[in-house]
Amino acid sequence: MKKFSKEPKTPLSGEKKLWRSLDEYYQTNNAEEAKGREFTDGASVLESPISRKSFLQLLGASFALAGLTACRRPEEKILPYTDGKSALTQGKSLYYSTTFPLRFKELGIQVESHEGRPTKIEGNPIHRSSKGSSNSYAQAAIFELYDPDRSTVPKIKGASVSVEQALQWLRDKRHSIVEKKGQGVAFLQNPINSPTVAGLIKQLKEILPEAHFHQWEPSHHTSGQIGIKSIIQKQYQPNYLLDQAQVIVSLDADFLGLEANDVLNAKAFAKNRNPDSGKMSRLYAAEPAWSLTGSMADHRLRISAHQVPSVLVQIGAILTGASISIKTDEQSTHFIKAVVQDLIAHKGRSLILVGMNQPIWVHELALRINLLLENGALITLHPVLEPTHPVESITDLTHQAHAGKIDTLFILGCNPVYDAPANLDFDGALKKINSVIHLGLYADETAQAALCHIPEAHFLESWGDVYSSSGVLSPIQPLISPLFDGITEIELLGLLVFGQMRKGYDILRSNWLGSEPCPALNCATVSEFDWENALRIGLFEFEPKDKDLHSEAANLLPSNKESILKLIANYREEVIPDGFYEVVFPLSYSMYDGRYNNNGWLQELPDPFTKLVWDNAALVCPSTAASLGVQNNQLLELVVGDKKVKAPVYITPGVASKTIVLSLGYGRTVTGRYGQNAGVNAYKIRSSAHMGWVAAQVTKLSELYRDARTDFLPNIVSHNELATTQKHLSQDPSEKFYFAKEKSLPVLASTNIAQMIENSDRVLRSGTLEQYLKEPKSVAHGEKHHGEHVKKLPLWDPLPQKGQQWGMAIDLTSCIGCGACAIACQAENNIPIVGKNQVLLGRHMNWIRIDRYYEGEDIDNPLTAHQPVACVHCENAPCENVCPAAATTHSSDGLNDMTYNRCIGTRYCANNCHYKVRRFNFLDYRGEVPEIRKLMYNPEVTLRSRGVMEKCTYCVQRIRKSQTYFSTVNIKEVPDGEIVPACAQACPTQAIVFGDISNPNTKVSQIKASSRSYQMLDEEFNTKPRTSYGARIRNNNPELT
Amino acid sequence: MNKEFEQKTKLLEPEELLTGNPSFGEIAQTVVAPVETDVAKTPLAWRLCFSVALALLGMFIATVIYLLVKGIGIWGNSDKVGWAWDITNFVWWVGIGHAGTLISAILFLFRQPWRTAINRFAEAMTIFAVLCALMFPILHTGRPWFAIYYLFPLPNQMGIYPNFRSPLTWDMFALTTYFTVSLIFWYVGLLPDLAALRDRSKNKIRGFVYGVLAMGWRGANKHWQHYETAYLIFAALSTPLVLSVHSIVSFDFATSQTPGWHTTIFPPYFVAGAVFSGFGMVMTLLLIARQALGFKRLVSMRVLENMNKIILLTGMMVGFAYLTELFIAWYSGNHSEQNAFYNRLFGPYAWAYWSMMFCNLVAPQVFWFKKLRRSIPVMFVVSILVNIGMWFERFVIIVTSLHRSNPSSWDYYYPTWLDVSMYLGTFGLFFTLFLLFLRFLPAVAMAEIKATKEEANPHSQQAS
Repeated sequence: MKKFSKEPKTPLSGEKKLWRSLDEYYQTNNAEEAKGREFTDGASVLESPISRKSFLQLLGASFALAGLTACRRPEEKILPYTDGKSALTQGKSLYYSTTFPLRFKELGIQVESHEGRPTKIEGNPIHRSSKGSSNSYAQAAIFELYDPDRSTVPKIKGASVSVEQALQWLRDKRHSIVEKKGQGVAFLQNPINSPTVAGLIKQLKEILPEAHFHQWEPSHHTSGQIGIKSIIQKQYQPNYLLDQAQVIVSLDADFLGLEANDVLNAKAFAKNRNPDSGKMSRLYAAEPAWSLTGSMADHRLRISAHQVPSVLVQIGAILTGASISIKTDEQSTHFIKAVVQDLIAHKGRSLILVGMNQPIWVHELALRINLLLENGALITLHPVLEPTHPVESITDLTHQAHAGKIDTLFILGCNPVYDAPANLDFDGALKKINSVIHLGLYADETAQAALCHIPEAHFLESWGDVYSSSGVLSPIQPLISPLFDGITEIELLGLLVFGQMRKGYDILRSNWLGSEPCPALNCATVSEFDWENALRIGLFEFEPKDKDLHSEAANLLPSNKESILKLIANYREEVIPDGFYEVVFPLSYSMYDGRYNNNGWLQELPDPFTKLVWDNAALVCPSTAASLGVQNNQLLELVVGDKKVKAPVYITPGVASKTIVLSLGYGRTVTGRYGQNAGVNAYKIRSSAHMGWVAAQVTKLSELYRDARTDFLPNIVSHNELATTQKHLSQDPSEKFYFAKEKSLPVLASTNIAQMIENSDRVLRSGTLEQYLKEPKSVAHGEKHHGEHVKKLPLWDPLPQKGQQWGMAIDLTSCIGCGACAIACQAENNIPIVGKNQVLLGRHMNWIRIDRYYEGEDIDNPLTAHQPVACVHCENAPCENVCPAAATTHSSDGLNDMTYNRCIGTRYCANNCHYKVRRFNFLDYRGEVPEIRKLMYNPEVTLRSRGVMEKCTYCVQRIRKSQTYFSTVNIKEVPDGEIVPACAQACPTQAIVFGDISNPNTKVSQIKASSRSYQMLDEEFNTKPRTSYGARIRNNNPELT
Repeated sequence: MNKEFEQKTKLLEPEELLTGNPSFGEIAQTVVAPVETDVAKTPLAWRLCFSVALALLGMFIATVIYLLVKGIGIWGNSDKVGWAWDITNFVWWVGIGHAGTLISAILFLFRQPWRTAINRFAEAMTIFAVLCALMFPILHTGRPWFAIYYLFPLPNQMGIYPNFRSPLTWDMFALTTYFTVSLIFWYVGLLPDLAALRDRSKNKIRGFVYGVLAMGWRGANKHWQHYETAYLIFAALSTPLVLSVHSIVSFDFATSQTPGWHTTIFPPYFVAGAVFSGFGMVMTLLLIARQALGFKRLVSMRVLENMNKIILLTGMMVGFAYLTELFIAWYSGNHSEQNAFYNRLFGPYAWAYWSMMFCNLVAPQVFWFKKLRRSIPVMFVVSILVNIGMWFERFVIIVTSLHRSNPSSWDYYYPTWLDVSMYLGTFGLFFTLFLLFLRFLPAVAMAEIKATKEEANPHSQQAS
């Protein structure tokens, strides 16, 4: 691999005399400085928004000064994943392995790079955490990288300074704190998952023995670790072998979504959920709010968060024979009984998981019950680099600061001013600290309160490493040198340790090659070869000795039952006083804990259940809404002590009664253009006493939610409400009428719920495993196998089919509805975001949408199923006939193509599409693109102009690329599995499979041959879609039905 | 001829066509009076109306410019409701454009002499309405500049032609043909009257302009012979067009698969609806013009009554189609179809459906009563209701069929102010042209109406 350097080595004194300016010729200071500084004066101090001029200057400067092809290529060696490509071929993308470092959700990824621009993130197939898949957070990192609102310039006392000045200031600061041995110095970081950071902290502790080190994360992912600690006295990250469990009980644990290792879990879970092989685990879930896990559950108990422990206590009590007196309703009792029977029947092959928002003792109890049920072997344990208890840690820090004991605080990468527990008064504490130094990707709330703010490099611009909670050590290597000259956490800590700025690469490399990269892991030393190989493949392989709970806790097993009894005996039911409501705080599926607040892709990713975009809301179930007397968009005031927050109501079936769900991550006050005015800040009422839920006084306000972002619309009826992409229960003025009529009109029922039930037979088909095994055809094709007797004649002669025929199969049994496919599609296909007002007008652009259907009679407590829908590529496509310009036509390999250049935008195709998957560019949605944003686009996909229809292409660019490649090596047919569309690639459960349907041996053909495979709306319209669906199968417990 | 028979038919003939039997001179004087008024003496009412129309036209032009600059996202349409007011307005204006040709061609072939009082007027309205309608198929597209280019089958090196399977392509041909034929038909009919104006003109400019437009008409026998033949040929050519244009417009819906659109009843139903709405609009305009221009003697109550009969008939045909649709939806046993119609009747747009039902089916029923049929205020109100009802009909068909198509992609369509200004703007275009027509061209076909008089009939007893 060639080493790229920005410095041409052409000394003037050498024999070859090349010079680029008179200054250089005469070797004046200007030229020397210019060479050393990469950019000319002013180029490095970019203020947002970057002007076109300054960007071009920057681009020109790098071209001129580098003298090489690349503009922002990292200086150090980074190694491509692919072999044999020693040099860059223009127009051909390269893949580099790196790691997505979000704590507890670390993913091994491969990043596609086009001429030095990272454009697309994909899972690393050999990395345990991702196995080639990814999640929406990782997919959306590209958007974050090129965010023009990122912090671009260091600030000291509010004034912009150059990076050099900031570093000088830091060096001075270091001098003074080292002199005082760190007296009054504190550090606040995200939970440490980087061995190199851990190593630097260790060194720093030697230099600054008096300093305090704190870790904080607003999510509560460490609960599981601390639960382990309370049993075996050592903090480990637990992992669950879900593929080996027959019965899984999730207590408020969203292991498929928000909990640690979601992708790994989803993969393992789906592996054991294949009705065709007859192997299907059973999932029970008890939860207050919808989670992806709850939506996948075969049986879901809707229960307030504060009552979740009682479920576990009752399970424990029945298992141990303890006597307890907990009043529960019939439904819960029934549920618990069935769960216990199943757990006993599957001893050693069952798991109970507890969510991060539940107290530590509940985690302990669950782990102990798992041990009792001999399930310990299914819980593997991974070392934790720097064990911590974030809530205690930040509480401690705040108390010290209030006491005036802290003089200097380094906040590295977190945003506690926004997300610290409300009762701690973190703002007040910060004011008592003389110098706060903040390192962050954004000049966020904390940066505003800091004395010194330094822009952080994005992980795609950084060198680093990660020991993931899935137990893999992997490097982070940059794909591009920092766009805004940010520095990394490692570099900043390195500056404090070494007293001078060292490159992140050097620190990392010396840490890896020096001795052991990670003492906590006991892995062997790393050789030069290992290092290069690790960069290449994206992980460092060493024989991991996975510990499991069973063997670690072997000596505790005899006393285990007693401990359980003790925990049960200590259980006191939490009581919510009359007039109060429980408010739960789940992380957001799009904003996470708020750090992705300015990510437009994620802002516009519909919530899996409410389908809300650009906002969060107070979710309540219909009966609670009725008792509160509220309707959608009505504001509620939630009061906890002296803290209060106003949030709009959104009625969501399936939320626990008397519970209000308010997700975290919204309501940022200092954010960029995308996060502005988005939602309400739930942290304002979240206290350190109960991180998962709080009892709040709820007052109904008469006013409705008004959104400043949508005020300027030319609509006659003003749209100020919450925006959702599935509008059934939100915007329908005659909704009440429908509810009243619903049951009395069985034949012509076109009601909200009734039509959905009606259409669960048409659009989304589902059934139980029992039914499926007994009569396989009946689930997908109805009792009468309806539609089969109808002779279907096409209107036109069938189109000629040549070569391989592409098709897709989507398995609704394994689709968890996470939305990774939607973001992956958006990144791959340059799909614009449209903004909240356009969503309100029904102009959401995502090519693949995930429909959410509620099932069941009980409006408060329905089941849920997800159905991803993109263009299904009908063979008899209704859209093709009606286009007057012949802009949408059929390819000989079965694709429904869009010729953007011919499209005149009549929208007739969309009107005639029964799947409603066509997306129209009503306005110039891309608009004036900031220069930096232009680097984000995938050069293989056309950018669509205003007035043009677009839709899923089955990632035709990938198909053609693959076909071209195989034709050059003289292979006629592309082998199965070689072409993977972006959605299929991202899908953590591999619910989406793509391939050649003309060959019966391909994976997709085999899936399509299953009896539960059906073609949506084909019987009605004879469209012959190429995308088929696998009916949703639930493994019901006969006891509960 | 049998005298007895003639007396009987006289009894059947309720009254004379021209009230008070005006002379040829009186007819000409009445018709050309508004045209020959001095510019300085232009009536204030006309000036006021014209300035309102011009203002609306200005609004239309401004909206169109904004539309071209920003894109059709300024309307309320969405991915689910791809067509809304744009196509509603299009079909509505095309429908209105039907009365003219029907009156001048079909009624001509059926030898209905009462048509002569209104045919010029109705034809002008047709042309202007079709012009308004033509705005929408072009402007509703995302890229109008390409729409015009790609829709014409221009030979090109790529060998790509418009998609002849698409009803929109048929639409383009049908509409342009209809517009061209209507325009020529109207112009041919104008020739003798233009010549009359030329001959009567008292200043040079008028004489020159009307002279050029009259194309050398001298009223020679040969001219009349050619004229009559040409008129007959155009009438014969236009007659199938009256049926074809709206049938093809209905194919936009009928040949698609969307439940609520996919019905074979659409072509006759749309043609009946078009005639219905066209007569409605003619009636509204005629009642105003008759009053304002003093044509009461030329446009007699008998003419109005006949028109009301046609409104009643076509209204019931339309109503029959509405009910047939419902029956078929139920009878077909097709869930999608049933859902679509249930949604139409009781869904969120039920108000639009029932407004349509009232205006189109219920309101014209008053014309069963002779007294009401001959009451100017009643027929004015009903004609307005018909116009409203027919707009709702298209809105109901388009929007309610689309907004709840796929069960996961339901939507509720709200128009924006720009939808409204676009629609009202087309009235500006329409009335600007129409007022200019009233001011500068004879609004009643003088030559033709004179031909209906007894004196013009060589076999008439009175003449002999």
